[in-house]
Amino acid sequence: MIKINDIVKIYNPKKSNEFEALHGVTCEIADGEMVAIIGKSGAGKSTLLHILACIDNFQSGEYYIDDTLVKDLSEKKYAQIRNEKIGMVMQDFALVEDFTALENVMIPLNFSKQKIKDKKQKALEALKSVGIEELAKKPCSKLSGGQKQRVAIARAIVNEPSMVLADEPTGALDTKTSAEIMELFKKLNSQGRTIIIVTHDMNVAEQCGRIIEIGDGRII
Amino acid sequence: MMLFITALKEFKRHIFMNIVTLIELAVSIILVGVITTAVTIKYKYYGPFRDVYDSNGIYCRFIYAADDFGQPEQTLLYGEQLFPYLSSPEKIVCSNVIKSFPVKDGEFINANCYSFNDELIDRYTPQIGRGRWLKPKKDELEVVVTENNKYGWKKGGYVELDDGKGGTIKAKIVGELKDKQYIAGIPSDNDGNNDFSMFVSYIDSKDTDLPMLIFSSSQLRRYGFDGDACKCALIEYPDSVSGEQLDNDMQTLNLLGSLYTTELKNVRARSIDYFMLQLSNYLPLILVILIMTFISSISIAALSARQRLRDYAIYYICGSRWKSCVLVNLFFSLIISGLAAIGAAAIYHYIPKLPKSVFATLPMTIASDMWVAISVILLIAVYILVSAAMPLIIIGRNTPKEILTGGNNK
Repeated sequence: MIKINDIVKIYNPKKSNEFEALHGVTCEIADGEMVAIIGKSGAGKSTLLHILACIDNFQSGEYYIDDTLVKDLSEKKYAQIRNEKIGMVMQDFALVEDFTALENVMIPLNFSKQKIKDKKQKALEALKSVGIEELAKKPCSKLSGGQKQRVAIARAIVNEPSMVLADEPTGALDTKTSAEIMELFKKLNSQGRTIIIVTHDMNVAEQCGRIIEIGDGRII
Repeated sequence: MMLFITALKEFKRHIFMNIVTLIELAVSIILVGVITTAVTIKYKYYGPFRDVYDSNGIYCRFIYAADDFGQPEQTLLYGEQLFPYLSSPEKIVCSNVIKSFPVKDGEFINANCYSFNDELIDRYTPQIGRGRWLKPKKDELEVVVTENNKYGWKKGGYVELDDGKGGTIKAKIVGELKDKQYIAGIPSDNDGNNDFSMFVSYIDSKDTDLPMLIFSSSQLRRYGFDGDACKCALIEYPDSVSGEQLDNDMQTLNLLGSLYTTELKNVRARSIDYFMLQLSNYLPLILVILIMTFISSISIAALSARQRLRDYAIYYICGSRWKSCVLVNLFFSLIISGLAAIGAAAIYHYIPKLPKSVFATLPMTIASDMWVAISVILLIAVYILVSAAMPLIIIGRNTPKEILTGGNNK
C-alpha cells in the first residue's frame, strides 16, 4: 500500500526562481493496482513519481510505503528502500551502455544488503521473465529500444520489489513495441505487483486499472 | 564489487589515455625513487652517528704506513688505546686496520682487513647479501667478507688470520657484504669535503679484486689479538670540553700519526650543507614531476567522472548511495597506481639488464630503504587523493535526479 498525504514540493525554495510543483497532493494506491498518472507537461506527474521513487524529496506532507513513513531518513535507508521496495523504469531505459544485459540486471542485486545466492541465476530468471534470456551476454549498446526497455524492466523486478514505477516507459518506442511493453507490465501486474506508470499517452493510460490525472500540481 | 567492476570497465574504456597515465605514474615512481635515493642515500651514513657529530669532538684519520716514515710507535695504537693520550674523551667510534694477513693453505694472502669497535658495529649495519652483521658479544670470533670474493670465502666458512705470534686464529664467516655499496667506518680520502663522506668508503669489486674482511675489535681482543691500528675515529667529548683542550688533543693525534684531524662541528656543518644542497638540487625536479602527474590524473579522473555520472545515477536508482559512487574513482585510481607500481618495478628490474654502455649513462639507483618506501607511498597516496577529489566535487555538484531527467526540475 502506498499512501501520500498532502505532499508539497517546492523547487528552489527561498530563491527568486522558487516554484511549487505539487500543492498538497493526496492519494492511495493499493497493493496490486496498476495506475497511470497522466497530465500535461509541467503538471507535476514526474515530480510525483520521483518522490514515490525516493529520488527526490518534498517539503511537507507524508509518504508511506507499507505503513512505513518515508521522510527524513538517512541516505543509507533511502538507498535500501530504492533497492528493495522500488523498481524503476525510465523513458530512455537508464541502462549502463557498456554493461551486458545480464550485468545491468545484476546491478540491484549487487547493491542489495541481503545475502543473495546465485545472483547470476536470479538475473537470468528476470531476463527470462521478460523474454530476452538469450540476450544476456549482449552489451546494451547493441540492443534495440524494445530490448533495452525489457532489460530495464528485468532490472526493475529482479529484486522482487513491491512496486514498479515507470516514467514514460513507451515514450521512446514504436507502437508495436509499446504494445509489447504494456503487455509485459500487465503480466507483471497480474502476478501481483503494483505498477505506476507516468504517461501522457492515453492509449497507455487506458490499459491501466486506474488513472490519476494531475494538473497544476494537484490531483484533478 | 559492483563499483570495482565499473572501475575496471572504466579503465578499459579509456585504455589509451589510461596507459599513458599509467606510464607517466610508473616513470614518476621511478624518478621519485631515484631522487629520494640521491637525497637520502648518504644520510644513512650520517644518521647513525648524528649524536656524535652533534657533540663536541674530533674526527681523525690515520695512515697505517706512518711508522715507515719515522712516526712514533704509538701510531700502531688501536682506537681505544688512544684514550690515555687525550683529555677525557667520552666515546670513540672507530675502525682499525689489521696489520696481519689472512692465511690460506699455509700461505699469506692479501686482503683488506679491518676491525670495527663495538660502538661502530652497534650503530651501523652495512648491506649484507647472505648471513648477518657482526655480533661482538658472541664467544666465537666472527668476520664478514665481501661477496663473490676471489678466495671463495662464503658464509658458514672460516678465515684464518695470522696472529702475529707465529700462529693463526680462526674466524667464522657470518655474513657476506654486498658488493657496490658505501660502508661507514672505513675512511675515504675525501678530507677536502670535510663532511661525513670522510668516514665512508665505496666498495666495488671492479676497483679492486682484494676482498674486504671486517672483524669485531672487541672479539679480537678476547682472542688475544692486538695487531690492529686505528684507521679513523669519531671521538666524542663531554660538553664541558674547551676549545683549547680539543686543539691540544688534535695536536696529540697528529703526533700519534693522524693524517687529518678536524672538529666534529665542522664536519656537521659541512654535512648539513651537503644535504641541503642535494635537496635544493632535486626539489624543483620533484615538483615538476608531481605537478605533471597530478594535472594529467586530475584531468582523466574528472573526464571519467563526468562521463560516468549517468551510470552513477543509474546505480543510485538501483540502491546505491550517491556519494559512494566516488568509490568507483577511488578503485580506478587504485588500479592505475597498482599497475604503475608493478610497471615501475618491472622497468627498474629491467634497467640493469640493459647493455652496460646504456646503463652506465643512467643515474638509476634506487635504495630499498624506508625513505624510498615513504616517498613512493606518499606519491601514490597523493595521486589517489588528488584523482579522487575531482570526481567528489563533480558528483557533489550534481544530483542523480537532475542527471536522469537531463536537469529538468519539474
